[in-house]
Amino acid sequence: MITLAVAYSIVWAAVAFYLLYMGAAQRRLQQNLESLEHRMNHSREGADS
Amino acid sequence: MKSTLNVGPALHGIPVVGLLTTALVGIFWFAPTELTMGPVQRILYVHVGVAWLGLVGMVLAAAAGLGYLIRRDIRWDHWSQASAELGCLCCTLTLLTGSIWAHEAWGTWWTWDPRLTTALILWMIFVGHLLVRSQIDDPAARARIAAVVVIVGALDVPLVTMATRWFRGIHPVSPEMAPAMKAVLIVSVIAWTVFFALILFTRARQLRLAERLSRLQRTERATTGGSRPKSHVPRRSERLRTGQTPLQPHHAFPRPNRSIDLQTEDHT
Repeated sequence: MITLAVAYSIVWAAVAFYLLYMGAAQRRLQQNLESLEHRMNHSREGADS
Repeated sequence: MKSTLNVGPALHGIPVVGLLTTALVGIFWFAPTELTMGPVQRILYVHVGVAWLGLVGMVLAAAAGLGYLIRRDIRWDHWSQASAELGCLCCTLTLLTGSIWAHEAWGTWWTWDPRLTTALILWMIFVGHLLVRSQIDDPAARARIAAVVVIVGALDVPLVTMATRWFRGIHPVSPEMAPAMKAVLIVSVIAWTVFFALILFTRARQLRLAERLSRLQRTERATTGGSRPKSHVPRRSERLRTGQTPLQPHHAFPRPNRSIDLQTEDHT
């Protein structure tokens, strides 16, 4: 029974690890998007003034 | 450009979690315990699922790689990368769960059985493919070379599938199972396949978004007059003409900022 628990734990841990990796990539995307938004707004304000 | 909270993938995830829960309930409560091996035989339900998806991952990655080579559209490469990542994960889990099961059933963690050996080769191809991807900066070259690697690697898929029939080994071919076991196995494989599909679509979409954002960043740099200075990397003939040695120190050729993954070149 312990062997079975270890096997299933490894499977779910690996899946969780990949989902966390995807989540980190998503957060990085979001940060880049926000920084781009900020820079574009900044340059627009500069052009208006 | 407004950043909004996207709850779509989470909503799609609810039925998948339900399906996986159903499979787990079937595995631990509905499926009968095998007489010879006991509870450890229940590894079968996850082992077969991830093994199938490892093969599917390689076939999809190769098909998408072929699509890229024909169409030269970077979206095919996103599908290829997403499939290869998931296939690699599933192949790793196949080897790990298989090894644990083999230790209980055969008394050894590993044996050079044809099915095991070809599965290990498949895993090495997946890892090699992902390593090749990580080492090439130019997206077009990366997509092209990764496509070739994965197409050649897909030749191992029929070998893995037919290894138990073509060669003599100890891995079972297709053992007889009680109807309840077979039903649980089918539910488990379906649940894993749907889960794989959901992650695959999400990852491919994420890679596509990263590429679009990269394009926007380049447009922004172009419109703001290129606030980031573009480094000039001299060609080999130019270096020879100006008397530079072909082997320059690494810092002589500034690389793009690797901390931001989206700073890639456009080649669509």
